[in-house]
Amino acid sequence: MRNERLRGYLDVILLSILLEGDSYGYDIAQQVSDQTHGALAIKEGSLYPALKRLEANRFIEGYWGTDKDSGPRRRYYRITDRGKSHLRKLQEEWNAEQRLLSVFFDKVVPE
Amino acid sequence: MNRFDAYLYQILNGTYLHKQEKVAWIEEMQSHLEDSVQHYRVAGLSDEQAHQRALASFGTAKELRQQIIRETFVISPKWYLIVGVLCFISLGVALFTNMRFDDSVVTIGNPATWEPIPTPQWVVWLHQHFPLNPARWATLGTMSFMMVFTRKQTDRLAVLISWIPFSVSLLPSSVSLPLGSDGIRQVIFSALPIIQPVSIGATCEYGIIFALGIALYIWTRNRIISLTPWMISITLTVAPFLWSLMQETLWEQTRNPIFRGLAPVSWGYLWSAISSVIVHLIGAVLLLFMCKRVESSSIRLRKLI
Repeated sequence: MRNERLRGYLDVILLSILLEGDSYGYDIAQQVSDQTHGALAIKEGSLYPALKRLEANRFIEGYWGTDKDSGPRRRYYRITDRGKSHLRKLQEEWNAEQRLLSVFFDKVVPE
Repeated sequence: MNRFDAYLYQILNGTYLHKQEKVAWIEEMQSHLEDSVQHYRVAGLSDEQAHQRALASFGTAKELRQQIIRETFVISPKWYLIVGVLCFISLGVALFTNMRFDDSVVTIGNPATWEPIPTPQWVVWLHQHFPLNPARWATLGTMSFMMVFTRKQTDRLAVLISWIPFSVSLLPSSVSLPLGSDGIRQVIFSALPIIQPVSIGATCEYGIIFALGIALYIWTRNRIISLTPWMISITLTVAPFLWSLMQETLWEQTRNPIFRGLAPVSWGYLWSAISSVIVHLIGAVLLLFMCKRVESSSIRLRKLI
């Protein structure tokens, strides 16, 4: 899939990763890379503006914490109830889009 | 100084974020870059190579700066600043045109003996084609400057909504009459600008602005945006006074009849304007305090739930 199209679904990617548990920027970037086997090449820095936007919209909450007791200070994010319902809404939209496009793609005969 | 500092400052320079926000962004991104360097070192790269790879996978400063502005503000605050400056220039043009159009040297006695001052062609053109309501330009200019502090769509809508109490008196009576009897409407909404700091109209207006400010805060959770009605009110109160003062000063300095106002600026007018601004500022501080109370109450409520 094209990276530009996937970048449009950055909210889905970030919210679904946070649905599995609280996380921080670098860890989220690693999870994106691991789960897509490196297929989604987004610049790691671009995660932060998206995370801040989601936080401003109260879909996620940020807090400072440490990895372990002596680990470095990091900013963790957790998904809020508002974020969960937003993710469900995005999923419904995606399903509706898929159903709509499949009407046309079904006509394409694979070579 | 950290080795990533120059790069991180380059990213955040010109992003219109607050100083505290920038500090938090730097700490967060720095921690990411350190983790990334560590990852590449473990993968077998030299210190310098790991550093370069971490920067490359993070993105270029220009790209990230543009993305921060786009994701945080949607529209760059630079454009709001430009529109705000243009609105205040237009305010000056409108005030000057109103002053110069059909001007005459006023003397004691029969108005028929007053000597008209020729109106320049460009003033006539502006009078015909340029919107000349100074209150509208002052309001639009203030709203544009407040837009600089907007982050979300709700913030931008809140700034637009702030204009409503200042525009009700401008609505046709057929629309505004249902808002209350004509007498009440006149008392409340003719109080703008609030030159008399203590009067029935001004008190009602302060109440409306305060209630609107609290409502906007509950909606947007943005304290600066909740101050928009106060800022519009202060501008509308101060702008006519400043213009009169400037006109009076120019008349005193140049003795050019075009600057001669109908009445000199009195100490009473000065005191009213200053006390009105003071009451506005006290109201704004009170509003910020109330916003803080609302915030702490909602946090307590969330914890209880």
